[in-house]
Amino acid sequence: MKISQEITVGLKRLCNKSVVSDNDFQAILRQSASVLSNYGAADDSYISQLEGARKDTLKEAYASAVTLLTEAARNDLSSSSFSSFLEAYNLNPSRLEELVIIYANCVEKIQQNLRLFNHCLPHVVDVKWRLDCCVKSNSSGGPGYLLYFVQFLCQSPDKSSSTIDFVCTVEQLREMVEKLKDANRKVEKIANLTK
Amino acid sequence: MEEVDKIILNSLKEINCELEEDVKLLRHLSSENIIAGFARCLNLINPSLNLSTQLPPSMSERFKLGASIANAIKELGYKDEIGYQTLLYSNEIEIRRLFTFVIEKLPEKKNLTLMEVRRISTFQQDISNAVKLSLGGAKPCLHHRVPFLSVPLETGVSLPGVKRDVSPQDWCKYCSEQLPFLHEQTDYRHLLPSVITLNSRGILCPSQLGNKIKAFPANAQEDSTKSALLKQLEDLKLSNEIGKAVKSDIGASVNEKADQEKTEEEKIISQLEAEILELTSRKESYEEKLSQVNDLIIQNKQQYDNNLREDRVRLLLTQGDEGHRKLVQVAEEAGKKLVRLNEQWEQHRSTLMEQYQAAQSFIKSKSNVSNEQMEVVQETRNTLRSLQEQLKKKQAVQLKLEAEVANLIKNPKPLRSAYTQRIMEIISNIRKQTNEINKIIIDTKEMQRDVNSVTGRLERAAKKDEGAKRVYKSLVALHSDCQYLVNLVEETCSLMIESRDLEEQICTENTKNTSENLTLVLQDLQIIKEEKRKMRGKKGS
Repeated sequence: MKISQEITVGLKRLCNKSVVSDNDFQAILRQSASVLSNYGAADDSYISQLEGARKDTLKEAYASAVTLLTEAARNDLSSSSFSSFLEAYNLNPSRLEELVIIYANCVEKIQQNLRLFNHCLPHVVDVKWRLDCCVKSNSSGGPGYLLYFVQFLCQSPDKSSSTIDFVCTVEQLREMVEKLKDANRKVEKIANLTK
Repeated sequence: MEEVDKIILNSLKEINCELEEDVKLLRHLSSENIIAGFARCLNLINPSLNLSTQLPPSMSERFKLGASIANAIKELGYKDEIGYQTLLYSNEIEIRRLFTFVIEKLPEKKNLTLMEVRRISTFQQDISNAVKLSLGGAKPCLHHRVPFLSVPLETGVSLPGVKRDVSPQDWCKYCSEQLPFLHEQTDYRHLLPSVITLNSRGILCPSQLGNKIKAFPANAQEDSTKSALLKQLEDLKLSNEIGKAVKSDIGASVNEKADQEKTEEEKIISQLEAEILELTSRKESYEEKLSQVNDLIIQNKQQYDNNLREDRVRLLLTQGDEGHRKLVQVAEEAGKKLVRLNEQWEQHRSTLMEQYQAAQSFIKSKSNVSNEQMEVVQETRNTLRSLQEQLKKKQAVQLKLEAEVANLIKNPKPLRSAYTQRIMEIISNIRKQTNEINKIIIDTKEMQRDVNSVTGRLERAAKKDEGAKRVYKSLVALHSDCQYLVNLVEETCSLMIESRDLEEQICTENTKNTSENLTLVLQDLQIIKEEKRKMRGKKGS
């Protein structure tokens, strides 16, 4: 796991007793844990408990606390590896301990929330199609040719459905089917690697 | 031979030689491939050689490269004859021998690659497990899917060496007053991706961090807050400017009413100021008076004290003897009191000193104990450290060994087993053949014995009668004739063997395709001559 220089600066400020008071430190930790674990329904009350006069430093410390917890959860660090990671930064030992405790408490929820993020490929649930024979059109006359009108019915994450429409010739459709089969074979091959 | 070729081509591919896919045997290799293969091998064995892996276009350069490769191979300890001609006008057998020699000298792969191989293989396994899991009918979770969209976030941290387009004071003010907290800078759906991106961006290009005040919320919901913030910021700047403008000049922009009001106010202000001035001056004068009075009081007090003392002395002087007696008495009493106090002090002192000494010895013993404990702690720390180091080393060794084991299990050198099998077969064949040879030897020995017994019997029988004698003589003649015949057969045999040898030699000479190579050499000679002529022409001109 790596954290950027910016976040390192904030982290050092967070764990410096002369910059962030004990009460503020606690409030920042609680706030970041609550923001990260109660996604979308966070309790913002801890921010009003901040007493420090220098709001900019507190904001920096808070930002780095949030980033640190997120990154650690993303990298699936255990509590012990998290604490050994922090030890490299020469932080105040009591604050380090607090950080580890907070991390241990909220890591699972953060990971749950991280799992929500996916690339959202459309999920095809149904297909409608019709085969048209085009005898003549304004752009082309001549002998008729066959056209497939295909409509994929897709379900998106929020349960609303959408459609994907396209028109293709028979050859194009055949090619697409071949490509899909090919992709399927490749995926199965990868899945069977361990056997 | 095919298997040897396969091994050689495999190892060439392993060191990243570019070979065409249809190359299955060594004789399919072109001279470019051969030169490239040797150059790569030699570069791996001795990186300081730095041989070119491409065949140069000029013929003389080619010869030079060939010669240097040949020299390098000789330096490696190759015993047979080798020169540029061996490489450029190749024949299969020599090339095979050379490749087997050179590939044996290749350095072994590093351990690091082993670790890497292991890492990659576990990674592949993870991928395939994940794919298998998703293929195994796990329905895609449709309810909770959020696209990974990130917006730029601002932490407010200023790194050294990164410049912003505002002054540090402004930035500080902006951060403490207007910059929202991190989670308020964006919609909650974008927070986690944005945080991840923030960190990655910071790692990858720290100099490109948001160096503008406007660098955050880009999200639809936050647009309003963003614009509000920007507006506030602009207002702030504007009000500053206005303040400056008011201070610098008033006349032109302010109307008359305001002017009148202002003059009235100014009048009042000046009156008030005058009053304040008066009051302060009055206050100062009072303060001065007060200090004078204080001085007077002090002087009076001193005078009074002096008077008191003088009165006492006068009293003593007027009473004379009595005064003297009283003084002596007072002095004696004071002396006695001093002695008494001294005794008391001694008592207290001795007890306290005892206590002090006891406490000191106690502290000493305690500090001794703590020192000992400190030493013990130090020692245990040292042992702990050394044990940790040992543990680390051992873990590293364990990892290495595990990787090797995994590698061995995974790639059990497919070729080796085949070879061992082949070798075992050959050994069993040889055993069979020796058995048969032994049998034949035993047979011939028995035959010899039979022949000996029969001839002995014949001799004994021949001495008895005349007919037998004649028969024996003719038999001897027959025997000698047969011997002659056998000799002839042997001779023909040896001749046949010789002719076969010669045929084999012819075959090997044929495989060296000398004639082709000769024509090639002649062609190349022609090219060189031409090059030479051109160079001469250039020189002449």
